[in-house]
Amino acid sequence: MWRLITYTEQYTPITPYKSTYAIGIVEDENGNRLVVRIDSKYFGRLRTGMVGSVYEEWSIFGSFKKFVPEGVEEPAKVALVTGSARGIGAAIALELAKAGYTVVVSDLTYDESAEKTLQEIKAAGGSAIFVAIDVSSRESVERAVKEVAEKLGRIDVLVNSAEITRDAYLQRMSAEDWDAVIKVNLTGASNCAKAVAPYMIRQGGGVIVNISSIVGMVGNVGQTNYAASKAGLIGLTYSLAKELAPYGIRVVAIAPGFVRTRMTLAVPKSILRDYLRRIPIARLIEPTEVAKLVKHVVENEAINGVVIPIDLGLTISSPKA
Amino acid sequence: MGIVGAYSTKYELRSEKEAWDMLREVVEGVMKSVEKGVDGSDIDLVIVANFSDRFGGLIHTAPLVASLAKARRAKGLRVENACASGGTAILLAWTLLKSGLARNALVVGFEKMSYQPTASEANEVLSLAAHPDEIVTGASFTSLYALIAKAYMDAYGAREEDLALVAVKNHENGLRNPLAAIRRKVTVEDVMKSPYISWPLKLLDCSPLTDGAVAVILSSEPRKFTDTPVYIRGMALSHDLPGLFERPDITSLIAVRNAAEEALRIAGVEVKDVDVFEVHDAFTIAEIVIYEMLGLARKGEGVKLIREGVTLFTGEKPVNPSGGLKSKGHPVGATGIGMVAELFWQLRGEAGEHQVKGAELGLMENHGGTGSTAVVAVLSR
Repeated sequence: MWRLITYTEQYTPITPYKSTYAIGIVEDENGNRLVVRIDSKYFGRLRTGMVGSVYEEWSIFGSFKKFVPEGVEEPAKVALVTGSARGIGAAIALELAKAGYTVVVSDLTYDESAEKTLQEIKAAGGSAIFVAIDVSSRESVERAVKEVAEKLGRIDVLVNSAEITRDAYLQRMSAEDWDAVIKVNLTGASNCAKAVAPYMIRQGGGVIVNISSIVGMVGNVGQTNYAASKAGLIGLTYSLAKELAPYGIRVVAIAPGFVRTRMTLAVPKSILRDYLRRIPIARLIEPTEVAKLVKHVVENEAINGVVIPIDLGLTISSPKA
Repeated sequence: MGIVGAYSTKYELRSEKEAWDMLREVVEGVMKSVEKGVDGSDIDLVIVANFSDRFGGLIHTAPLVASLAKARRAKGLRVENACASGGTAILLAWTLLKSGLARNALVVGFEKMSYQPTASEANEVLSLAAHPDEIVTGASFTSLYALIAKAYMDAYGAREEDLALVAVKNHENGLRNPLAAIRRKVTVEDVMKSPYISWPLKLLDCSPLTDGAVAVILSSEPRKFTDTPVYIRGMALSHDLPGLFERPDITSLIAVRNAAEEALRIAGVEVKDVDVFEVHDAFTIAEIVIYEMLGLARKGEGVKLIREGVTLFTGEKPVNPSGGLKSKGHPVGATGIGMVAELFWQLRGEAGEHQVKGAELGLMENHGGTGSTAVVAVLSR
């Protein structure tokens, strides 16, 4: 049995380990002492005098001693899903709630759809609260993230799924429609990631999932603004994944094809039918199918800095024009 | 045995100069600083302190420094004792001069830490000075000092705000020193609001990665070169167990205490006689523990000294009037020699705006690792 006599949470990663963890000194009954590494998931919950076990851990840089404290309660993990009153966001919120996450359902305003999502989560035995966020406003995001951290104590997962469309050929697109889409879909995701990162660093890690789109990879007529915003999310994902990896925060993008949502069904029927004919599996994707992929990405700790298409084979269909 | 000349580059966070340009500057500068003149042929010993070739891209620097000084007859070497490399170089020169094997020594220290692309990589180089178990566990030096800070706070009830007072004092002092790397006033609130590097230590509790070089000339016939030499009255080096986890008391730096006791004994003075101190405040907690190890405060009461302002520039026992490692900077190999240069100017009344009035006896404390090597020197006019 080893007792923790002093410790520090190391927030600034050093080469070559490039990760965050706590460092401690532990002592046994005979007064023997060891220097140990402690997993970052215990950040904020370590105390002098804690007891636990020590294991030898192999690493390519040399084997070291790892201390696992006893009797530390696992906190309920918290997932913040933007744009989750309806559509893909709502399905993701429900899926994560079913997986045991305390979910923050968020959207511009608390409306009937938001209430329905909350009720579905509660009916499934999950736990959720609603927080209003206008992702395009930095102040709104900062305020909301602070509120979440104060109410629920932590933020483990951020899913950036808030999005809008303002479709038109570029020649006819108003400057306002271009700006609005970029501001919500791309700047909104960056605002949210920036606001949650400090909380994730202090608690030892987290996951950010950006809901991009297949349109950001292959383009689509009438959607230059939307496609640019979704392609922008891919660049954001790659870069942020590199910046945050040392802090135990993974960043992943998911690129769905045409999902059966209110937004997709707003596309004129004749155009939608034309799209579907080109997809190897000619149907719409269900929001729950996207949600299941998000849940997998959140839980599989080896997935980082990639864009995962979920598109029924749309990207392999041709021709693209 | 006396110091007859000193020169330092301005310390900088990211110098445009290459390491060899810094060496040229300080060698030329120190030769010119000697009032009665010194010739390359006078120099028969060259000692260069440098932590790592990964901080400047140079090894085998003694012949380079000798050639810059035109000291064709000089013998030389490079020394490394982690952050105490500079102090060790001075000690070695002092010992060799005392032995009669050399008469006049040129001692140079340098480090260009911005040679590493990122702080993460610079910290990897620094961490190699720890115990092997600490290295493989992945502890940065900030973490190791954070372990001391946490243990100290648990044992003696010190708070993060108390540690912040050391940063506030040394930054205030650095404002008066044109050589300091960070000349910016900070408040307790600034320190408290700066991001945690390794809890409970924050960015403003840590000395910066720094570029800089410094040189001094020691002579066994100092009056030949100046009418106002500064003498090393006593000097000692002491080691402790390299791993923090190996030590019975994590909140003490025993090597500092042992080196200080020996240096003071050789000098025949007591710590209460010392007018000005330059000490190794690589982290704020270090300065508080050093107060206790030097005998300025009893165990657990170092924090009182900073709370009561005893060690302020205007206090009874000014510590780090130069700004210390915290504000002046910490170009590792240069640090200990920089402290000696600072005391040379203080004791000759040449420290300008940060001159401690009437300073006659000075003490420098320079340590490496988590205090596993400590060098202390007592100097006077």
